[in-house]
Amino acid sequence: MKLRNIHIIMLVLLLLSCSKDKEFGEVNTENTNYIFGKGVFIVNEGNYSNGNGSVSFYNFYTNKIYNGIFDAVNKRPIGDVPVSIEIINGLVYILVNNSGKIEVVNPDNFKSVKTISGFTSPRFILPINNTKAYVSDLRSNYISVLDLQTNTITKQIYCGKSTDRMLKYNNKVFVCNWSEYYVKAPNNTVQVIDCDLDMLIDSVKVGKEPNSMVLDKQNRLWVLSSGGYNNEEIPELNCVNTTSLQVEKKILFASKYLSPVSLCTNQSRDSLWFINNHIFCMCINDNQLPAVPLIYKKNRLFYSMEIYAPNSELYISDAIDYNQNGYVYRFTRNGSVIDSLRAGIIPGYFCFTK
Amino acid sequence: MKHRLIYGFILLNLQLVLLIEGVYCQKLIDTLMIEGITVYEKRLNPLQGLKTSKIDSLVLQKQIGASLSDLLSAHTSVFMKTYGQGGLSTASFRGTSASHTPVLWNDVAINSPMFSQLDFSMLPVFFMDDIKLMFGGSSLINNSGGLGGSINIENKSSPDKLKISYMQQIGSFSAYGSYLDVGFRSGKFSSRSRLMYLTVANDFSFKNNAAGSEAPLEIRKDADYLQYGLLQELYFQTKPGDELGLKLWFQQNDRDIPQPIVVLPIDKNEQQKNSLFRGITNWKHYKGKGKLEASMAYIYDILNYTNKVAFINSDNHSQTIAGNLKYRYAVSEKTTINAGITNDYFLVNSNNYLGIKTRNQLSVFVGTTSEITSRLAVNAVVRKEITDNVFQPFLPSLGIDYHLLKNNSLTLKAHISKNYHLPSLNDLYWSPGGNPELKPEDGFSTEGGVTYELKMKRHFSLNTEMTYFYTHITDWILWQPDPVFRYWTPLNLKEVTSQGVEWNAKIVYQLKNVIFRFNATYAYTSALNLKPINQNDETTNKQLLYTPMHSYNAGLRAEWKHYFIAFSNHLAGKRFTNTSNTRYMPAYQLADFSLGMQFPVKIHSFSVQLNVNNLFDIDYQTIAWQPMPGRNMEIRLKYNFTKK
Repeated sequence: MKLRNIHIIMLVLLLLSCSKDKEFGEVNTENTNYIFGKGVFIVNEGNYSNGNGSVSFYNFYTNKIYNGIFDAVNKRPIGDVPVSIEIINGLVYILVNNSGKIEVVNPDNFKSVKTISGFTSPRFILPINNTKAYVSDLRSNYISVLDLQTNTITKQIYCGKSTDRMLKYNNKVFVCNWSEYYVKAPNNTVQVIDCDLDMLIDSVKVGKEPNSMVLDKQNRLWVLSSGGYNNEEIPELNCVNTTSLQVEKKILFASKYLSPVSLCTNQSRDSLWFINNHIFCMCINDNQLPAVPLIYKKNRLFYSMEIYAPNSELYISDAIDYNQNGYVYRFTRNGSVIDSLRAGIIPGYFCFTK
Repeated sequence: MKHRLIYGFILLNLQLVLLIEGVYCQKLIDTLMIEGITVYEKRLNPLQGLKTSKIDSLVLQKQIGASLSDLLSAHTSVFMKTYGQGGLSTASFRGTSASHTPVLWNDVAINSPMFSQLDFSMLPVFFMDDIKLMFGGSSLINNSGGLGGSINIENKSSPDKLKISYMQQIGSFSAYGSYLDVGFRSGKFSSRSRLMYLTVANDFSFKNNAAGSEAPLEIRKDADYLQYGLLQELYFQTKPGDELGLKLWFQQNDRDIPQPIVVLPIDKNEQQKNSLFRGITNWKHYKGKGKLEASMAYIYDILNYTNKVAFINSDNHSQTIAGNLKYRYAVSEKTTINAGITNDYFLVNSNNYLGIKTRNQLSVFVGTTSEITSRLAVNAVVRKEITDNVFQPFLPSLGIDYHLLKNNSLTLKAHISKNYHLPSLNDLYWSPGGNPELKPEDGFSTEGGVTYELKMKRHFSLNTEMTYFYTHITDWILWQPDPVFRYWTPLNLKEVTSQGVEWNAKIVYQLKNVIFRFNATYAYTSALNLKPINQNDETTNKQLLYTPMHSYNAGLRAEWKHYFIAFSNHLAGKRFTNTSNTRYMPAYQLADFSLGMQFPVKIHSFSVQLNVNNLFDIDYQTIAWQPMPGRNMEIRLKYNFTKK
């Protein structure tokens, strides 16, 4: 009789323990609402197909970093692999690469305003004027033209290559052809688009896999190429005349087993910074690469860098093991550390508020 | 003289055999039909001092149309990391990784030499007669590499003269399975053929939590799969007890790979086709007090993965040739010694490697099992392996059983061992990224526990076991993006300890002519990373990815005449999804329900079974953004003809 009671109790316990639980998706314990102001948005890419990318905001006034700000407000994940973020006409555009979409949010509260779909694999957005912007794409061979009034795609510019970072100078838009992975076309060029005509007009041959560009004070275009995913070629730094489109300087790195990224410049545009394991700095008049780093990486993994123009502070991310939340370091332009902030998984892109 | 000895053994062991197997599997195991040899073999079986757990044959019967992945996740403490029904599914045993769980099919390791792991969704329970879990260092008696433990699958010749059974299964989401099993015995010769065909559209509806907090209902796309296969066994008894066997396993697995729901879907983008052949020929021979087992195995595995958008056509052919020679000898009634030599040769031809890659592994072991006193039994094994002419360290293993009470009902168990796991061929040779400099992962483990058995007359029995285990693994291999090259590369990066407590209990209770069976397992696993990479690393003393701290399952079954009803429940605790443990998947608990009846008509029998899975329609995901089906059911009709 006793035994039977035990069974009944066990059965009841089993049944009771099966109440329907509401929460079933991944939980990020670090999602927080944020306070907007002067500061920097940080895009944390997350791991490919794991949907664990996020957006952080570091507020200069509260001196606080807020993580997972999109998910916290909108109660859904931002998507898979967010790669870049820009503030255009008072709205924030977040490009979510592997979800093929752009999330448009209100910067005051980060509430979703619109989700723009129709892309295959958007990477970066570049405003051309108040009414249109270009969106580059990893997996398609077009650049999409976005109407900024309606936030819809109005047309596409055929490039025949995968497109990545973009930079506008006068009526020219320079586009890095960074990848040959999905679109099988040589990835050693910077294409030139006439943004009045929305037409591809020319291209410049640079090193394989150009990953970042800046304009110096003489309005020359500096292009950093990492040499290819499989280290096929020696990385290069090219200086291109923006009028004649001729390469004026070509500086080679020491070995093809290097992968320099994140070329940046300061407000006066007379110096260049980049990551090549360590952080290096050089003058635009130099004809060779600096021998000694500005900042040694030690056991950190420097992933991405941007310079805050007003005070030339360096924002550099450490992806650690690519799986936990990464760190963002603030360094002075001379390389002394100011602060370090814990962001999300693989912090990869910075966008400063105006 | 010999017969006397054998009958002596019968008397000695029948009680034990009945207790271990008879009570729980009485309908299916032919315990009473055992010949002397079987008992003698039992005597030679060195399982004392080890922690093993056999899947109840009633569970095996109930889950016959399922995959091993479904069976293990619902009925054991092994955590299955599954991407969905029919999707990639790997095992985590005692907090270790998928590659630390070897699967042996009739003593031959069938893990892919490329991945060093196995996809459990491609292992149909229909092809298995016996499943045994060897926990931790206990797996060393069969082979090395099982840092968490191993899973041993066996096939056995059937004693029936003629047996034909056909089963048709129809389930939710257009799941159709057909299973034919034909066996016969003629004199010294017997044959058994099993044929299966399973097709599942798997287009279930799920709540899309990636689309917003209201989680709209959507239909899962591109999760369909197809499996068909044949298992052919031939046995020839050269003399009583001696057996010459041949087992041939052919299988084809085709599947579409669905995208995680956060990703922009591309129709039918990823596909995987897997064709495999596994063949074993073996010879068992008894002479005097010894038993000799020799086997040769050949495995050919073709895995093709395509991704249209990324232009990937990954074509992988791996072959294994394994030779195995084992000898056991009963020195006395209480002591056996055993020794063996195994040679495994792997050859992989993959378009992801630069050229053909091979590995040869020679393994030698000696061991003994001895009942030192009537209360104390010891199992000791020393294994030495040579990998491509490199001598690996000695792998010793020592297990002790001590009966605290005279009636053997309360037993203390302890085990200590050293083990290691070789890097997989992908770890070494994948291009780009493979690292030929990798060292093996080193493991040390120890455990202690207590088992208790209680039998009250005929109507009540209880078996329960509680174990504490501790495993320390150094040089744990982890793939990471290389800071210089930017592609992923494996390194001997981590140091991990995994420790925990396992508990299980089985109760059988008979009330008039109704039999109740209750079983439960619970495991607490703390698998922690010990070594930081840099000062910002916050993963030290944090739980490993997708390793639940708590897992629990329980089942209750009632049988009356030819009817049964079963209810089971399992819980997978919170699993962290990043190494710093700031993101996690919530715990979930699922319940299954089964109802079955059998209509025997002379030597024919018809049976019907209804299974309801996820009875309470719980929304859950085992892996983030991989939805799982809600309530679903299957009906199984079976016809069976047996001539003894």
